[in-house]
Amino acid sequence: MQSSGTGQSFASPRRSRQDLVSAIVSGDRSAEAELVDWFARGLAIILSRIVKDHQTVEDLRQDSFRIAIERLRSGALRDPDALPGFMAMIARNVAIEHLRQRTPGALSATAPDPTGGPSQYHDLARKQNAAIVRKILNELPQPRDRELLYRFYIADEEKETICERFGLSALHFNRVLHRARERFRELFEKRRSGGGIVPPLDAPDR
Amino acid sequence: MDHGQIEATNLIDRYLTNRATPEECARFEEHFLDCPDCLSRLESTRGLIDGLKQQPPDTFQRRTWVGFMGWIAAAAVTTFAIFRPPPATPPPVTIPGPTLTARAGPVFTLATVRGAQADAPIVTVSGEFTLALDFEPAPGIKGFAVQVTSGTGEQLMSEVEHPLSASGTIGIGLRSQDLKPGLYRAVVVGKSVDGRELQRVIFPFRFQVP
Ligand SMILES: [Zn+2]
Repeated sequence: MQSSGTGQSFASPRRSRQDLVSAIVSGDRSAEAELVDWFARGLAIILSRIVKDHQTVEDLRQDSFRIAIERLRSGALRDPDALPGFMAMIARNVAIEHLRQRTPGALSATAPDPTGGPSQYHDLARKQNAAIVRKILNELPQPRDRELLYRFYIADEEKETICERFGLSALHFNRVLHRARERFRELFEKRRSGGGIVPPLDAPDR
Repeated sequence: MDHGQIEATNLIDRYLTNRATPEECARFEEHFLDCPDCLSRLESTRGLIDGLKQQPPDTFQRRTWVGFMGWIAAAAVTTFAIFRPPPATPPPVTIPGPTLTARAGPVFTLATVRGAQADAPIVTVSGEFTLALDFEPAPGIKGFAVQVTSGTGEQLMSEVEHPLSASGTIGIGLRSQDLKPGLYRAVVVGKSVDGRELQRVIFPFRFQVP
């Protein structure tokens, strides 16, 4: 599916993939900035799934953009429509190379950990996540739903095992997850639209 | 890749929790890099998972128990029915924290790769053995809690305070007679000085008898 390119997440209006790639090939610096603006958040998701440390994700994202821009300038991407796949591949390779260098001979992907480094911004964002989740957990009608979220997202149990344990249908399971995600998103967006990082909703962080 | 398919296959959850196949991951990455809607859902789901990880460890268990007791009390008052308590789960076995220098039996090193159950390394052993859990501690970690649970969630071993190892490897001692053949997970929770969870690494493995 193609996005319209005018969604809230991306700079708007945006050049087409063809125009953007051509502009980078011709050395247009504003096109390079547009590339970064377009892919920054997505690359952070890809990298942070493979590398757990927040600061390393930042470093690897810079590396990914540097490599991508060098390759684009040299005309390595023949089909501009393949730009997202091209960017994703570079980010994956950069992350894998990082892990390979870190543990010679033993390639290992680490579990995603959004903890990241000690930056103040990051710490505050994490406190907000914790506060929103506390609110959501308190809102859940059944203690079982809290346990379900824990088992799926934290204890890493399979959906089928959880459904069997609680006597739930797959549909009900999906509904609990969906509601929690949407509620989080709602509170998260509310806070973001209220001016970026703001103090947590309720009790101070533990 | 369309949104109906993404929703129906729980792809956002599976992607973020490393349950998706490499092919699914690649196709989804290509999609969400150009989809503001999926990107926003990925970010908020990641925030939800992060927020869940930061809750105190007893949040889920204690509240479940309180909820259950409340239900029992309410039901007893209104109906005077006789309830059979849920089957008791055996108390977790606490094993003193063995280290790699004081290990017994063979050592199995587990990498932190998660994914399909079939991918879990197979541990075939009888008698005592050591699992070496190899990973990189996140900055700020001062100690660990380690748990081993079965695929059905039964706790086999729980160690609340394991010191930080300089090498980033944690060794835990187990006895094969305490394990039934099947899938297990060793979970390492890294904690800060004030006991907050900063990191969680999961090592799946499949145990079988020789
Ligand atoms: Zn999408």
